[in-house]
Amino acid sequence: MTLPLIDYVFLMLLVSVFAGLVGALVGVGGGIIIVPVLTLFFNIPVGYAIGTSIVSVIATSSGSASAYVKDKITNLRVGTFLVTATTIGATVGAVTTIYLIASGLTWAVYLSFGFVLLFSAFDFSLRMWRRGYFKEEEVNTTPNSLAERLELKGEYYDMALKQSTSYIATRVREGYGIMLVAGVLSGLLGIGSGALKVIGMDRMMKLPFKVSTTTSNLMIGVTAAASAGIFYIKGFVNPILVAPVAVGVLLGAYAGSKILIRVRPSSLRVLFVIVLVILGAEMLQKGIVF
Amino acid sequence: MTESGQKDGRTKVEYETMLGKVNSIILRYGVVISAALISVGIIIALLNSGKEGIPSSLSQLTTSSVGNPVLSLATLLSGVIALNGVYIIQLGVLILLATPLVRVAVTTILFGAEKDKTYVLIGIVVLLVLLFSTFVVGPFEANRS
Repeated sequence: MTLPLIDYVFLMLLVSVFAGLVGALVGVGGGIIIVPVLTLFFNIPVGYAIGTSIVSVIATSSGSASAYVKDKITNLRVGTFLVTATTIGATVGAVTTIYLIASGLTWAVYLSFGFVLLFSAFDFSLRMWRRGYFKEEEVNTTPNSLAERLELKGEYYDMALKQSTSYIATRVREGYGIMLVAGVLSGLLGIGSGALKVIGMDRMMKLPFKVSTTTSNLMIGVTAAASAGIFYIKGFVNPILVAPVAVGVLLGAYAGSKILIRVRPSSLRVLFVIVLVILGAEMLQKGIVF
Repeated sequence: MTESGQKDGRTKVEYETMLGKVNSIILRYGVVISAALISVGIIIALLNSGKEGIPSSLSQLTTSSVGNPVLSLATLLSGVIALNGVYIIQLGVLILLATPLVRVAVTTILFGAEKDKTYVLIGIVVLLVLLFSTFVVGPFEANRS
């Protein structure tokens, strides 16, 4: 592995632009691709790969959230309340990963990552097949005391429906529990775990889908900042490893958000599932033969 | 609706709009400034690879001192002023890491301006968790072998 630094920077810039672009087009962050690519193809130790990925996750979150938060679709109170759970989870996750690596249990990190990749591929395919089913969203409008006290409610103007929609969260405790798990996964593996955050808000707390996705975007950055701080002090955030990934993912995600309006990328979604499955299998294998 | 009710409603909408705008501005500036610094920094670092402690190949990277966290602001800034590529990237990375924290801090202050006590408290909890993870858990993990 005597790859010149300049080759790494250019290759990883290309991979990251692709990850950011595909991520934006199919509706996930690029973080889930970055760690497997760094460990499998560049032989980067997994701690450094996670440190690199989590920084790029903050970049993507800040970049995409800035547009939505201005449109008032993002619910800042729901986001602020739920990140108390995700940041605590992320701290636990980061400590766990550092412990596993220091104790020679790195295989457990690879196995967890492999399972999360395969599960994401499964969840993603399910959403593709049953898109019609998930489109009929149930938005809760029945008040309950906990959500009322925490002001977990709002209304937003839906551009497509051309009407204002009011909503209030339900099953707040269960949603909070899902956020703890999402935080742990984010800190453990250096990913945004946006899909799980959306499940928590959309399916559990019955918030509108658009509010859930945009609020999740905003939460991902705060969640990632909790573990990124730990990885930074630990020395797992290497500036030269990080540079092409952070810039590439941002460029890709920005380009993706511009293309998104014109393209309906169904073949891209299939390609993405295949990539997730291959990387997932490789990560499992790396965990088993470690 | 009474006249004062309408007025309150309008003020509330104005407040929420302002809150969204402020959040948006912090995020955008944070990401643009850090991306610019990281881009400039990596170009300078690559031009100097093989000297100034910057390795020339990927395999030496994780064992070199390049990845050491910069813990003093004075060291960081003197490195940036000396146009050291690695320090310029470090500054960009730190701005990126600080952006969510700054956003939550400003939002918490704005919740306070609206006398939303519940959310001032929740915002403070988030800030404490972030500071605790970076400045308490981080050094603890770094010192543990």
